[in-house]
Amino acid sequence: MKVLLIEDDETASEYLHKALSESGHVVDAVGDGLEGLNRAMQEPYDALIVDRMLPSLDGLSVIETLRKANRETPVLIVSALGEVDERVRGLRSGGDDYLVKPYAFAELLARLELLVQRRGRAGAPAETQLCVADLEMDLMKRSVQRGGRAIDLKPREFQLLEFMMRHAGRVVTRTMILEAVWDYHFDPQTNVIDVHISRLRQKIDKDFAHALIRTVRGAGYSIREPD
Amino acid sequence: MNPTEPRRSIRVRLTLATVGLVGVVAALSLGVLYFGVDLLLEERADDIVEQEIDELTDHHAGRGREALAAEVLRRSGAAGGGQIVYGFAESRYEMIAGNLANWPEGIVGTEPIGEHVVEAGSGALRSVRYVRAASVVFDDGHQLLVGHDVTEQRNFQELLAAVAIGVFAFALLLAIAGGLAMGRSLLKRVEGMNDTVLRILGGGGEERVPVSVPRDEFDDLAEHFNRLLEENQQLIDRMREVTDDVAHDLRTPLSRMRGHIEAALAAPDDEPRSREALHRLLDETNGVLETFNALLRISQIQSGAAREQMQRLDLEAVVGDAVDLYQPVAEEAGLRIDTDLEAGLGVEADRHLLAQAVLNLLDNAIKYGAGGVSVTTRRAGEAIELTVADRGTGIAPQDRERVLQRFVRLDASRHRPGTGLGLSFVAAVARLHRAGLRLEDNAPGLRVTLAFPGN
Repeated sequence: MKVLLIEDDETASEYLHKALSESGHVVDAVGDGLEGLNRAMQEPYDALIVDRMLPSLDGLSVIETLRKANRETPVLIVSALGEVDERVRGLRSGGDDYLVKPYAFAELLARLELLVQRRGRAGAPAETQLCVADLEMDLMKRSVQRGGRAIDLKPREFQLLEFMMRHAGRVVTRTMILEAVWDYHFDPQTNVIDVHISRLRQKIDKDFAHALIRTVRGAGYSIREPD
Repeated sequence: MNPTEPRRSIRVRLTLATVGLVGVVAALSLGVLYFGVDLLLEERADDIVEQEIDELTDHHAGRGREALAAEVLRRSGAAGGGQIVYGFAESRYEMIAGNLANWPEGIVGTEPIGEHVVEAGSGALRSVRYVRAASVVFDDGHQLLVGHDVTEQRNFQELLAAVAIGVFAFALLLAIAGGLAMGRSLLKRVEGMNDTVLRILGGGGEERVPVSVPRDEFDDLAEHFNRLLEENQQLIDRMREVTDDVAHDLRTPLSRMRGHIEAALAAPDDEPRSREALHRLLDETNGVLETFNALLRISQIQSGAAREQMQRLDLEAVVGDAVDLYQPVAEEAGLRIDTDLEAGLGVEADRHLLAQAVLNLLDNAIKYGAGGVSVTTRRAGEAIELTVADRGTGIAPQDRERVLQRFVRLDASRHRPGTGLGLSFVAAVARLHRAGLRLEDNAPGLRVTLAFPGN
């Protein structure tokens, strides 16, 4: 995908540029708010990464201006301002997700890909069925089965699995899971999500030949069809 | 303080105010006395004069000039005549009868009551007197004058005036002296405080303002001031401690990081080894970042900035979610979290902060507890209490206050993972929510209770 990176910290910008390119994405990087806004208005991008503190025009104003001009490109805000009310302010300006510096690149990449995927699906009719290989989830009946065998899940386990299946093939990080399933925007600093995943694995993967849930080292988890 | 700033000492202001007040009060009371006496006596004199004139006029009209002369003569000689002066004269002011020595100049024709100086009596008894007098001229040109002596009254008033001036002067002197004295005693108290503050500013951090008994408002002020100093001192101490602790706590991971880097550099060709070193380096870095994030969060909470995120929350839901998240972790550790959550308890809180506080308590309970963790919410009188209890080794009473401070880790936990900030975070959250925080013996184990103020 094609990404516009608006970030004035050159070291951070170069690092992101390199890392995103290595992940197979095309990146344009600018270090100035006004210039970034112009680029975003003129060229079609799949996503924007916007720093909040920028010379000439701050990140939130860039996003607000874009939204007023009906540009619906997904925006990931990156900022050193990490308090909850700063996040709320960021999302209110029209940003789609908010990542606090310093962050792991894997976290940024996972969130960015999720945003683009979500935007691509916007407007599509709501799904009632999710499938990954022989794992099926019925969202109406709140039931799950694999290979025709019913699997009994607790409500949270169901939510967790639903979140992963909605983003099948993508990496979801631990903080993304915490946000999506528990609506917690903080890091509880333990392996708590790993424990929940391992329980889910017990129910989904244990008795089957192929495991669907995979650990992505240094990033998070992913559910996908076996290779 | 700018020495060129205009200054007005409290002493001068106090003295001026006292003098002004005493002056006004003295002037008012003396004035009322002076003019009151005057008015009262004058009225009495005037009544008598009027009555005499009326009676004698009637006498003249009824019985004629000679009878009047005889009557005036009689009245002049009467015992009460000393107070009243009479004069009956023919048209050219030749005296016919009365105790006036002569017809006073300045009284011509019929005149209303006024104040005059007359000469009365004769021979050795002749004297100058102040009188309230009126005169009347009859048809035949004869004239009658009746006056009431007010000499004593005037003398009394003169005396009164002299006394008043004396009293007034005395009162003013007293006021000046009193004002200065009062100012001085006030100033002494203020200067005592001033000196203490100056000594503290000069580096005497342990100095305190003296508080005397019996207490007055200044002692209250002194005590509040001392409390402020105490709190300030504690803050400074705590800040110093935190700075030391941060430095100490960061030195350890930083030196480990240095070790990993050195290990990687020492084996340039051993790729698995350098990769392993890099992974460890990343873990250490994350640990340091975690510590910083936790510290920042705590100080942000302490600044009170998060208060705007407060909303009415269902305690059962918030605690239920947190337990839900941690139950599997507890089970992995061979424990169970038992809950006893009263329904319908509402608290004014920030959901994220409250949830994280509960998670920190659960985390501690699972780490250091054994046998089971219980989470309870209930109404206790006015308050709403949230309790997390474990059955582990607990915390000794003398350490319960200390563990709430940043980076304090007891010996039992020093070698387990953790930042040493978990309970500090809980304490900061409790304070933000104006909730009480109690650490108690669960016999065995630790029982932590957050008591939210009821509505």
